[in-house]
Formats: sequence, structure tokens, C-alpha cells
Amino acid sequence: MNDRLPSETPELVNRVIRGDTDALSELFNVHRARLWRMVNFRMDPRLAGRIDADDILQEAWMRAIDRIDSFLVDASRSTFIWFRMIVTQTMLDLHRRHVGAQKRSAAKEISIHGGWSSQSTSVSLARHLLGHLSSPSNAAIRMELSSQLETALSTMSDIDREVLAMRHFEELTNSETAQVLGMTEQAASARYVRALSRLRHVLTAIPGFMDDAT
Amino acid sequence: MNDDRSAASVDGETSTVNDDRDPVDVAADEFAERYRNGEYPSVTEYVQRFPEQAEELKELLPAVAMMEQLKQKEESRIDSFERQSAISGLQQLGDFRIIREIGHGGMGVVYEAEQESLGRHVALKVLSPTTFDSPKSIRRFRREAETVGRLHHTNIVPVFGVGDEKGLHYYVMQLIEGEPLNEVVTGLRNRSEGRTVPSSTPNISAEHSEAGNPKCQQGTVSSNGSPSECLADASGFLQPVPSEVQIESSIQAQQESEGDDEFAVTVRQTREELAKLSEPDFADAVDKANARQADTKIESGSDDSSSANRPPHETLQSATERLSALLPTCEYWNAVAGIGIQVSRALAYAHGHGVWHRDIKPSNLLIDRSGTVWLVDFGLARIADDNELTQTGDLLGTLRYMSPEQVIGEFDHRSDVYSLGLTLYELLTFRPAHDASIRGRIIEQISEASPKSPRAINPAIPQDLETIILKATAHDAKDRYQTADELAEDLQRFIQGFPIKARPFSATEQLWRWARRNPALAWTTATTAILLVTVAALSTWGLVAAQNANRDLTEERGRTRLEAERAEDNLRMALQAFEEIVDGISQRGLPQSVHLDLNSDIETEDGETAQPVANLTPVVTEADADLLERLLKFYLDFASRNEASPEVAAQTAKAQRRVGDIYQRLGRRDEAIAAYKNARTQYQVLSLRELNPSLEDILSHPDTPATYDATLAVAAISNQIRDTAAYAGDPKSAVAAYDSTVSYLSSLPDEVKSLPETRFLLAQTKISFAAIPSRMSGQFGGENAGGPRGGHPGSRDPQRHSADGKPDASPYRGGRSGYRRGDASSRDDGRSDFLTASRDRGKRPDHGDSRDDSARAQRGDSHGDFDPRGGGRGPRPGYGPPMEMEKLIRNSRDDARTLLEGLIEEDDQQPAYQLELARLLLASPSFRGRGDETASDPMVELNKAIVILQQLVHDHPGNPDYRFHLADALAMSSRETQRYETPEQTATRYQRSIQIARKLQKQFPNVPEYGILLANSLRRLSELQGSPDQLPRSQQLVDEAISILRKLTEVWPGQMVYRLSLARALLHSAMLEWRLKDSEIYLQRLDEAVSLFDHIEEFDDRPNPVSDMLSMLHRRRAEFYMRKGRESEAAAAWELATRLTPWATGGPERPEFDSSDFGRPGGSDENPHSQKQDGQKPDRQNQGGPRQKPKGPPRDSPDNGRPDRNPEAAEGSGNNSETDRQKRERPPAE
Repeated sequence: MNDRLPSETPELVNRVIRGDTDALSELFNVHRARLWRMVNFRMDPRLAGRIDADDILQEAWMRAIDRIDSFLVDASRSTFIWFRMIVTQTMLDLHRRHVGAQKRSAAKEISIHGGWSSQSTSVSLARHLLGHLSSPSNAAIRMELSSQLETALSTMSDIDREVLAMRHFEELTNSETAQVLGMTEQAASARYVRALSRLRHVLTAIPGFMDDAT
Repeated sequence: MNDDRSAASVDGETSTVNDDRDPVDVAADEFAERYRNGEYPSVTEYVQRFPEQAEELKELLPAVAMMEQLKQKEESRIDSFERQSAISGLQQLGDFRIIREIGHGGMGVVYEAEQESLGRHVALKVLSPTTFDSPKSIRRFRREAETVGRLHHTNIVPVFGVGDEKGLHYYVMQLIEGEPLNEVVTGLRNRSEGRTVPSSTPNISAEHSEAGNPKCQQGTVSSNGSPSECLADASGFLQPVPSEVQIESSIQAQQESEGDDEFAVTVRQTREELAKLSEPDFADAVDKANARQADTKIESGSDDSSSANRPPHETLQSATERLSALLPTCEYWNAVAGIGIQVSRALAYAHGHGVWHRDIKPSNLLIDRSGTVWLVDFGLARIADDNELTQTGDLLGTLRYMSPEQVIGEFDHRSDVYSLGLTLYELLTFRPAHDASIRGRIIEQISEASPKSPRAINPAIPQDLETIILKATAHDAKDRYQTADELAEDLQRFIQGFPIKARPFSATEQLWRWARRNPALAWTTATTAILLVTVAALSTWGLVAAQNANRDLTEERGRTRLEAERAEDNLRMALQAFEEIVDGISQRGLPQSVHLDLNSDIETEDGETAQPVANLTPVVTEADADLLERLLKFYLDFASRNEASPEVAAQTAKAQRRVGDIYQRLGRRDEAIAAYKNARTQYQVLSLRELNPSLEDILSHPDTPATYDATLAVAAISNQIRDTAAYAGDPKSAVAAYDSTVSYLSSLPDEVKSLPETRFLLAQTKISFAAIPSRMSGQFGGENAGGPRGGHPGSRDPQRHSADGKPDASPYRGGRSGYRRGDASSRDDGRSDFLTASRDRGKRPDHGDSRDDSARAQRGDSHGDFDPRGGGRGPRPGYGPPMEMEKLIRNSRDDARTLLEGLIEEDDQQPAYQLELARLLLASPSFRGRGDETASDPMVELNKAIVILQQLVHDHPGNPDYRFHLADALAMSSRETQRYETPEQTATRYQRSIQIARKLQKQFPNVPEYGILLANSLRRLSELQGSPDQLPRSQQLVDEAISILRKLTEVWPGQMVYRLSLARALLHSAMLEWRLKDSEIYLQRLDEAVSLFDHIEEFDDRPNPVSDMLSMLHRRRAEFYMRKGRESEAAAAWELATRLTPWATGGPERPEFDSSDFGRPGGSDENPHSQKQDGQKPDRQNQGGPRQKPKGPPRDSPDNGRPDRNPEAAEGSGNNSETDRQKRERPPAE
């Protein structure tokens, strides 16, 4: 999966370390696709009409430039993870501004799940998993299913949900996932397989769900 | 983005297996990666490649595939946001030059555009790319649009075509100048305020109290004026205006009133609508822009014919203006019908072409200045993806008008009829039929409830029109107009004054519908079957009745009679069904375990084993009551017309009584009493038959022992009437009712009097009578009302437990003559009669004598030296009920006790008897103890009562009623024991009471009595904790009480007693605040308490708890202002206080303050000074006359300070809290 980063050359990284903001922009663009994906996945539906994913990335990029001095220290393990953290903070700030205060302390959440409350991950997962059930005029059924699904997902552990969200919806590699969650790669991998299996069970429990997923 | 990703993803890495990783992970990762690259690898391939993980992979890979697919789909939709953003800056789209945006919504943006090749102005709807999630849906959109494009109808906005350009899909419509109906409704609603609506219905304007600025929407343009053939013209509504003039003038008007921004309003999408709801400034802007024009229009108003002579820009009115002008006339109804006709004809036409609109709602109907209604967005709802709708909130606007079947995903043309019905409903009532604002609630409303009857909102709406609307919006599509044309025809008939075809649902239909929509009541199949049969059969009955009239009876008698009997069976079943409905309603919200005997105790077949019933009637609504009332009327008519059998009559009477129960619960006392009286009348008739059975009856049921259900029901209902009246602050009639109940029971034949049921009923009646003083003084029943209310088991008197406010409706002020009327002799007659009856004819006559003796002996023990006038510590003259009253009360108590003890001896396992005994012991402790307190320690009896109740709770742990009474008794006894125990001991009692009540309330949140009990106990405990260091705790307690009571008053707005309780708690809280020196909050609390009674327009000029409470609140306010030196405000408050209690001679004392009082708001009452101004004497000197209101609460002192001792001194209900407060304010050491 490190194939994602062919353009993250040591030379580019070195330029960033020397404080070259153009290089930082380039580097940001290298990861932009996955960052966008994360924003898209995590964005509160209530914000969808008001804020564009690109706006968030734009702002995150500017924040990254502001913090270029700390790049060497903070991004030492993975530039992507560094960017991801900045994007996450940007998003949380925007959510707060637009949707209202978060229920829990944002700082705490960041330390646990890389920025996202388990609830929001759960909702996001449900929302995305429901994507295929968009037959017209079935809005009500859909809502019902949606809450069923959220309930079902909530029976999974926070970490399981996070792992799935990261591995599939954010397309993080196992190693990146491990980094974000602060566990060993081995543990992250085992966790992922286990989470997949749980998801599978959760989905089969909802009538007609897996059948539709073709 | 996807490009990025695919560019970035190369295969090389997939084979590099990281040793740390789970092999399944590695395989799944690669699988996912290939998915992302657009490959669709097969699961089988992986199963073969990784045989060791085959099983797991088989199971897990499909989930991986699903997630990846969903993500891609989702992303491709979001991806197109970029394209959407291109929409906003759109200048040109193919042949179309964008002029301006005229609206946007979930599905896209609507522009006014010029089609350059044809030089015409059109409306261009550019669909948001997110509207489509697949090529398939795009194809569907085009197909739909083409179909709609073939529709040509006066009232359908023509679709010129569809196209796509730069990846944007759009369709082209005729540009219509018009207002969406939702805006019309808003405008009308605003204008209706303060204006006369047809036959003046103030409730409409009251409903919408927002500023009534005339608002109108103006629009212009559209050179392709419509060939407006306005059907509404038939009704004389909306004269068409030549379109040239129209355009010209509207442009003119527009130029005068505003800039380009508000130019032309055409298709508006709900999103904007919703935004508007939250941003009133939009409406304001429009208002402003149009105020001038609108004002002119309102002036010119109703005379349409004269408008032709006016300058064009004044002549032309927006639809809102025109309709608004009609508002005060009946023409408005015709106008609405006219709109309905236009739309339904258009729908009929479209349906005929196989097109369903699917999204009929006010915002999709434009009405232009000629009065023509235009349907927009035909069939497009189907295209919109739900997710998008959900995200934009558009769904909510759509959802409100969805039919029940649509909610569950079904649709046919009758769904359009339904949605149109709801739209017309809104035009009639100015509010949505399903008015919830939360999505889930709307769905609930749609699926469960029929819309409220429009005439219930505005009685001026013609019956026929309502019938039409209700038929169109019938829950079941089969009950609606089957085609849109049928609807149009009926509306036409309405306008022309012909009889319409739709018929209002009959009562049986309503019953049936109601039953069907309430499966939650867990009806048995049998019930449902009964209902079915009933509904079917009742029509037969009507037929039979009609036939009877015309038929030669002799010839047909046999057959007819047979049919009549069958029909009566059916009626009986219907009544049973009715009863189940009532039960369903009364049990709503309760768990099964408390479904005790909800039938009235006395009427149960086996009175001996009747369970005491929880006095718990959970939430019923006004709608329930109305439905029952209507049903009942039907049954009554039926029964009276057809000389139904006694059984049926009994059922009817019972039903009537139930209706009374429900009304009482809702606080509609007058209706409750009326229903009770009707029931009683019917029972009386039945009773005659029971007491004087015809030979035929006896012969036909030789084996059935005689029953006296009806006879006893008469008495039981009398008690209910009495209680209801007592709570309503009508002690006079309450006392009269006691009298008549007792005389009635006494007049019964001996065999009836000897029945345990009868004796029990009499005991209850007497206990209730004995409880009057404590009830009326507010000392006991006044609080948690648990008290000696003489409730019989099974009675569901809801207010029995909630009588906080009523107690001060002191009979000694208003109803003394009532007592006198019930003279002692008749009472004594009744009593001795009974004692004889029970002794001689009791079930176990052999025990009769000894029982009676022992009972009397016992009575003697405890009351032998009872002397009402006794001792120096007895009541001062005039400081209690008159002596003859006291004697009566004492006798009642004694009688009740004798009766109960007799009953208990016969059956000591009957919890109802035990409960009643406990109530007796709790009743009137002040009276019991009055003569010589050392001889009869009230504490002994109170504790005995508590022991009995504890035993009951212990034996019947599942019965919440006993727990309630126990908690109640604890709270009540605390008031009494305050004098004997340390504050800590008393506090412990309250705490136990609170503990029990809290559990009950948690378990049955819908039972208001539990809430009241809890709240009052909390308040009491709070009042008890008066020392400075306890203040924060005290405040916390009363705050909880206030929050409980606030909720209760919201849920039961009609229950004055809840308001009074709340007022009292607020008053106490105010005092605490004051002591904490937060004087502003003090005033706030008082003001909130005052506002609880804002809705009362006229105050009784007889003593009543509400006036008393208000008067006291105002006095407190006056005091506050005095202290603050705000003389004029103080005087105003004082004036109010005085005016509220005219019966208090000389008016309440004017406060005078000394500085030492500050921080002790109650202090002023404890130190009343002679008032310079009115020269009043201190209160003590005014305590003499029973009718005279004391000028202030009595001085409290340890020996005579019992608050109950002087009901007369009560300042209405306020007395309680005042005396309480005094107690509290006095440091315990005092």
C-alpha cells in the first residue's frame, strides 16, 4: 500500500523540512485523495450543503503551512498521518462552528480515535453503508433501516468501527491505521479481520441487507 | 479524486506480505485494492489462492466488496459537487442564457433563462448532479420528463424539453408568474390575524400570534401568458385579468417597490421554504417590499368588480391579496374549492396519461394573478434520490403531505388525491394537517392519526367542505375519492350548492378506523372480530328500524323481532367494544401489571374480591374524549330510539360514566358532571327495575339472584359528582351530594342495604364527608390529596390525588347552608338504619350483635370523650366549622368506622376494606383530636393507618395504588406530626414518601397523581428545611418540585389544581430566593406563578382557590415593591390583590415593612401592623366571623398553630403555603 506514496520522495520531504511551502503543497496534493476521502466520510450530513470537502482541505492546507516548522518532529513517522491529523482538527473545528459544540472534549477524542467520536464514526458508517438502499420514495424505510444499522453498528466496539472506517472508507493502510490508533501493526491487522467478521454478522442480522449488496 | 487514487495505486506492493499481518488481512487488502482499481475480483479466486483462509475469506470478502462498492458510489455522488458548484456560477447552458436564479432546492436550481434561439423566457431547472446516482436514474429522469412534456393542461406547467450540457441535466418549463401556495397560506394566515375571518373564528388568529403584517408575494414576467381559464371563476372568485395588462402592471409594481432581487418568483423549492421558516427576515424583506401595494389592496378589498376601474398596478392583486380579501366572506371557501377543482382536474388528466405527480404539496402549486393554479414538478419526486432529499431537509416538506401508503413505499393515483386533500386542508385551516416538526413524528402522525377535523379548528368551515377534505384524506386509499375527477366533481357540487356525494363517516366507521389504527392497544383478535361484525351489523339494524316504521307490524312481527334481537346483540357487542376502547384509552401508558379492575368496583360481579384499583388513569387526550363523546352520542340515540334491553341500557350508562371519568381526568369538570348525571339518570331507570322486578323478569331468570348493580351505581356516581363538584370549588353542591347519597342509600330496601357492597359504599361516602374539613382547609387532602377522600376501590377519580388547589374552597365560607341542609336527623336515620340492616341482615347475622357491640365499644375507647367544644385548647369560636357540623362529621366518622369494622370482620382479607380503614384513620385528625388531645393521640391513629398501608404494600407489592397511599399517608402524617416530632423525624417521613413517590413516578410517568405527590412532598420537605444552612438543599428540593409541576401543567393544562400546586411551589421558591437575597428572582417566580392564571378571564366573585392564590401572589408582589420603594407598582399590585378577593371584607391588609423583615418575606405576615391607610385591625380581631376573611394568617404558636384548625382563616389555597411558610420561617427552635 505504500505504493500510494510514490511521489512522496525524500527530496520533497527534505524541502518541506527546510521550510519550503511549495513543497508542502505538493506533498499535500500527494495525499489529497485520501484526505478528501476522509472528509467525505466523516463530514456531518448537516454540513453537506454548506461546506465543501474542498473548503476543508483548503483550510487544512493553510493550517499545515502554518505548522510547517513542526513538520520534522510531528511528521517524522508518516506525513500522511500528520496531514490527516490537521484535517481532522480542521473538520472538528468547522463542525463545532456550524453544528454546535461537540458532546465530548475534542482533545480527548483525538487522542483516542484520531479525532472522531465513536458515535460519529458509527453514524458515518451507517450513512455510507446505506448508500445502496436509495430506492426512491422509500425514504421512510430507509430511515428505519438507517437507525437499525446504527444500532447494529453500535454493538461493535469503537475500535472495530474505527478500523473498518479507516481501512475501507479512508483507505488507510494497515500500518497507518496502527499508527493512528497507537497499536502494533500485528494488533491492528488482527483487529481488522475481527472487525470484518463482526460487520459481516451485524449486516446479516439486518434482513435483506447483505442480499442487496451486490 | 478517483483518478488520483488509481494513479497512485500500483500492484507491486500487494504481494509484499508483511509478516505481522493476519493473512486474511493481506488477502482482503489486496482484494479491496483491486476493487478500487476498477477490477472486480471474484471471491472464488481468493478462496483458491488462500486455501488456508478459505472459509474466512468466503465469508468476509463479500463484506469488503460491499463496503468498497458503497464507498465508490457515494464518492461519485459527492464528486459531482464540483460540477454542482459549476451550477452556481452558470452563465450559459447551451441555448439558454441564464438571467437569474429564482429558486433552488434539493433537486437543483431554477433559473429564469432566455432561450436564445427562440427569444423566449423560460424557467430552467438544472438538476443537481447529486440527484442522480446512476445512469439508470438519468434515463428514468429523461423518460419521465418526456412523458410530462406530453401533458397539455391548463393547470400543468408545460415542460418544453430536457437536455444535458456540460454534464448538467436540466429541463425547460414555461415561466410562470405566481405564488406558491405555501406562501399564500402564510400570507393569509398572517392577514387573518386581527381580521374577521368567516363567521369570526378568533381561534385562528389566536393560533398564530406572530406579527400580522400583510405579506404578499409579487412576481412578474412571463410573456407567454397563460390561456388562463380559471375554473374558480365559476364560484365568482378570482376574475381573470388580461395577461398583457398583467405583465405590464406587475413590472411596474415591481420597479416601484424594489430592485431586481425580488424579481419574479416562480418555482420555489421547499428547501427555500424551510430556510425561510428559520429566517424570518426573508419574509420581512418581502413584506417590506410589498407593504405598500398590499396595504392598498387590503383597503380595496372585497369588491372585485370595482377594481377594473383602477390603475393597473392597483388592480392587480396577488393571489394572496385576492384570497385575503375574500377571507371575511363565505366566498373564501368557494375559492379554496375552486383551487381544489383546478388541481384535481389537472391530476385527473395526468393520471389519465399514466403520470402521477407524487409530490403534491402547497409549494408545488403556483397560483398566478388570474387565479389559475399551476402544478409544477410532475413526477419528479420519483427521480430525486432520497439521500439527497434527506440531506437537504427537503424530505420534510415533502413528507408532510405524503399519504400513509407512500410512507411505506407504495403509491398510486389516490396518493396524489390524498396529498391534494392535505393541501386544501391547509388552505382552509392555515396550518398543516400533520404539523409535527420532527420527521419521526410526522411519519407517526401520517400513519396513525387522521388529521384533526378542520371544523374543530375553524367552525366556520362548511360541513360539506370538511366532509370532502376528510374523504380525500382518508387513511385508507379505498375510502378516498377513487379518482381525482370524483374529487373535482364533489367540489363543484359544493360550490354550486348541490348535495355532495361524500358522506361523513358514521360513528361506527370512526370506531372501526380508530380501532384499526391503534393496534398498539393490543387488542385481541376477538375484539377485532366483534368490531367487524358490529360495524357490518349496525347498518342492518338501522335498516330494520326504518323498515319497522313502514311495515305492517302484525304481518312481519316475528321476522322483524328476530332481526331486532340480532341487531341488539350486535349493539351490545359494539358497546363492549366501546368499553374496550375506553379501557384502552384509560390504560394507555401503563404496564400490564397495573391493569387492575378498571371496571367500577361496585359493578363487578363479585364485589367481595374486587381489587382496589389504582387510581391511575394515564394520559388521555382531548381527541380521545371527543371521539368517545361522538361514539357515545351514537349509542345513546340508538338506545333511546330502539328501546333497547336493560343490558344494553346498562352498558350505555356505564359507557357514559366512563366518558365522565375521562372528562374529569382532562379537567373538563362541567362536562364530566353532565356525563355523570346522564349516567346516573340511566342507572336510576335501571334501578327501578332492579328494585321492582317484573314478574316476567323473575320468571325468565329464576336462578339468577337479584342484583343491584344499577342501584348501587347510582350512589357511586353521586359520589363522583360530589367529588368533582368539590374539586371544582363548589362545596355547596358537594355537601348536598353527600347528603343525597346517604339518604339514597338509606332509603334502599333492607335486602339491598345489607349487602356488603352497599355498606361499603356508605362507609366510603361517610368517610368522604368526614374528610371535608381537612380537604377544605387544605390541611391534608389539599396537599397530596391522598387523604380521606372516601374513594372506593376501583373508583378512578383522577383528582382524588391531586386536590392541591381545591381544599380551600372552604364550605364554611361559601357553603354553610349546605351543611345545615344536611340536618343531623336524616343522617342519623340513615345511619341507624344501616347499622340495623347490617346487624340483622348481614351475611353472617349470627355475628351481628357482638360485632356491633365490639365496634361500638372500640369506638368508645377511642372517641368516647371526644368533645368538640372541650377544653381551653379547643377551637376558638368561629375558628372552625360550626358545632353542628362537627357533630355530623364525628358521627360520619364513627358510622364509617362501624361499617368498616363490620365488613372487615366478615372478610378480613379484603384489601379494599383495609385501605378504606386506613383512609378513615387518616381523615380529619384535627377533628378527631380536637376535644382532648391527650385522650386520643392523633399520632396513634396516623401510625395505625401507616401500618395498615405498609401491610397492604407488603401483601400486594405489585399494586402501585397501595404504595401511593402509603407515600401519601406518610406525607400527610408528616404535617400532623410536625407538632410532635423533631424536624428530623418529620423530614424522615417526607423522605420516605418522596422515595416511594419517586419510584412510582419513574415507573408510571404518565400518572399525574404520582407526580403531584412527589412534587408536593418535595416542596414540603423543602419548606421544612428552613434553617440558613439548609437553604441550598431546600432550594434544590423545591426546584425539582417546580420542574415536575411545570411538566404536569403542560400535559394537563385544564387541571387548575396542578397550576395551584405549581404556584405554591413557585411562591415557596420565591421565598427562598429572597432569603438568599436574590430579590429579582423572587419577583420572577411570583410573576411566573401569576402567569399560570393568565388564561382565566373572569374570576369568580365567590371565594375560590384561584382568586385567593392570585391575590396572595399580588400581595407578595406589592410587598416586594414596597420594600424596593416602588410605591406606584406596589399600589397597583395591591389594587389587584384587593380586587381579586372582594369577599374578604375590608380587603387584605396593606403591608407595612420594617427593616428587620427584609430577607424574611413571610415575616410581614407574622408581624402585621395596624394599617394606617385602611385602619385595619390586626388579624386576630377579625377572626370572629366565619364569613369574614381574616386580614392575615393567624399567628402561629406551638399550641394553636395547627394550620388545619381554621379553614376560615385560609386565604384561599394560599393559606397552606402561608402557614407552611410561617412554620418554616420560624426557626425550629422557636
